Amino acid sequence: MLSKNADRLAKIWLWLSALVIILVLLSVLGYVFINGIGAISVSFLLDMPQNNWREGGIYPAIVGSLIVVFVALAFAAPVGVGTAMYLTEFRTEGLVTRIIRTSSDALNAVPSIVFGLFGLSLFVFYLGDYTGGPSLLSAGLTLGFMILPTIIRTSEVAMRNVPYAERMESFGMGASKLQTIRNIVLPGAVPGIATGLILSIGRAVGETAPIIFMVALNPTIPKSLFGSGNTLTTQLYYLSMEGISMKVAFGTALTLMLVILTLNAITRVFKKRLSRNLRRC
Amino acid sequence: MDSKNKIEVKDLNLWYADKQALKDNNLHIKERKVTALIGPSGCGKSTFVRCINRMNDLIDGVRITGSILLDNKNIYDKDVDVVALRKRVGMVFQRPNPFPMSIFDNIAYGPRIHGIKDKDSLRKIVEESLVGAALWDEVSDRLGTNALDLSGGQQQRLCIARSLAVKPEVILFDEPCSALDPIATGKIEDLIHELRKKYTIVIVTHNMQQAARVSDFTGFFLLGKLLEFGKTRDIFENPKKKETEDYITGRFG
Repeated sequence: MLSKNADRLAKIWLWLSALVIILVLLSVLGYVFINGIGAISVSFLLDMPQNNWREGGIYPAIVGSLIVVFVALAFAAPVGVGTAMYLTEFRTEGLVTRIIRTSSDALNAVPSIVFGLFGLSLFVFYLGDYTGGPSLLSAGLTLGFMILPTIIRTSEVAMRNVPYAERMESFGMGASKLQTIRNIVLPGAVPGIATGLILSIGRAVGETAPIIFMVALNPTIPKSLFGSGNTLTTQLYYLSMEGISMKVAFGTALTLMLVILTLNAITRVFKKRLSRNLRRC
Repeated sequence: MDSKNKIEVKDLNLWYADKQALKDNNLHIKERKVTALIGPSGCGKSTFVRCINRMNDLIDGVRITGSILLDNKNIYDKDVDVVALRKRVGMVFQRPNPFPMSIFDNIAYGPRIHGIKDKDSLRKIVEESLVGAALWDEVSDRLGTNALDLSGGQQQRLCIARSLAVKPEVILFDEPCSALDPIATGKIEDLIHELRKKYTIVIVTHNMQQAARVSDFTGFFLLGKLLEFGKTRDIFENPKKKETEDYITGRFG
């Protein structure tokens, strides 16, 4: 009898724990949705802010976010995929691969605000003459550093999932290493690499701390990469911190969450395609 | 009847790191004949065939001494282009590994890599190769479908067709039937019988009946050493060494 009751108690406790997750998620999403939906409209997304953000739209922040993410990806995608390719195709496991992998993992563990401080020192103070100081370029590169480990890891897994035997068959027909990578490894790994890239975009677009020192509230469309601009996350921070407009802040938050949810949905589709590809194993 | 030597192996040694896997092997492989290599697991016969198209180069820590002459030219000379060598010496692996692409693209993979882009030439090569591998009649109406949808036996014939497509002179078979059922195995053996008219064939097999059925010459490997070599009939009917006799009569292996 006792054990039966214990079973029942455990079941209730576990069920409640699971329920908490759903409740937390729904309340966060719901709260942002209820408070933000009133602010969102086409003009909110596509108009310039007016009256110190209290009216008008958040267009500059959307453009800024897109630019920053684009810069981050333009830097991190080639470097990350390249590193992964080096690890899987050009090195056997050993000291060098261990050092690279540990560095990448350590990079992943660095708190995002520390990335911000590092980016500020490197791109704004040290390389300010080349990056335009606290510019969208500096912010994008800082985010690029931050998403590098994710891209390396997901690309590495994707390339390793391409069976070794397929590479051997390719070499056996007289293909060179590069031909094998281009025709066999990359096509097989593309869904996995793309998944990693989209996840990284989602992370980059949602981060505030790494770019908080570089992106200020700025009601204009950035003229170039070297100019200053603002992003959805930093705008959200300033709008709420300085009590400018909670309504616009929630509208921004909802926009941001919709962007990230959309990216996650796209990732899911890619993952499905990836698992279909793995059928051959 | 006596044909010329296509491949001459001289004093071939191979080490994986510190472990010696092949010891002082000497062997002649005749042109347009089937040479079978038999022996217990781990005796070095697969390692041996992989030396003939330098697939062992891809494994770290492998060291090779001695020479392998292909048409009297040492393939381990410094000026040898490994890519060109592998085009001349094709390989069919233990398990069929079609690429996850269409039947057509699988066969066209090799020719495309070697620079053939013209669609008509490719189509011709694909048809010839599939006919050569006795697969054409079964797949000619669905060349665009994924090669992974074929049965295991068909996949292995596809892999044979794929190596035929680069027009090799020698084909190495590394236990090509070990993952196949008896009917599919029978088809591959018939195919090898046909292929020997045009190609020099080396086949590694665990199956002694298979060696007896398909080969003209047989070599028996034990512990990294080619112990006995000769006409297949002589090896099976009159083995000179006791170890060979023990192995083919099933006393160990």
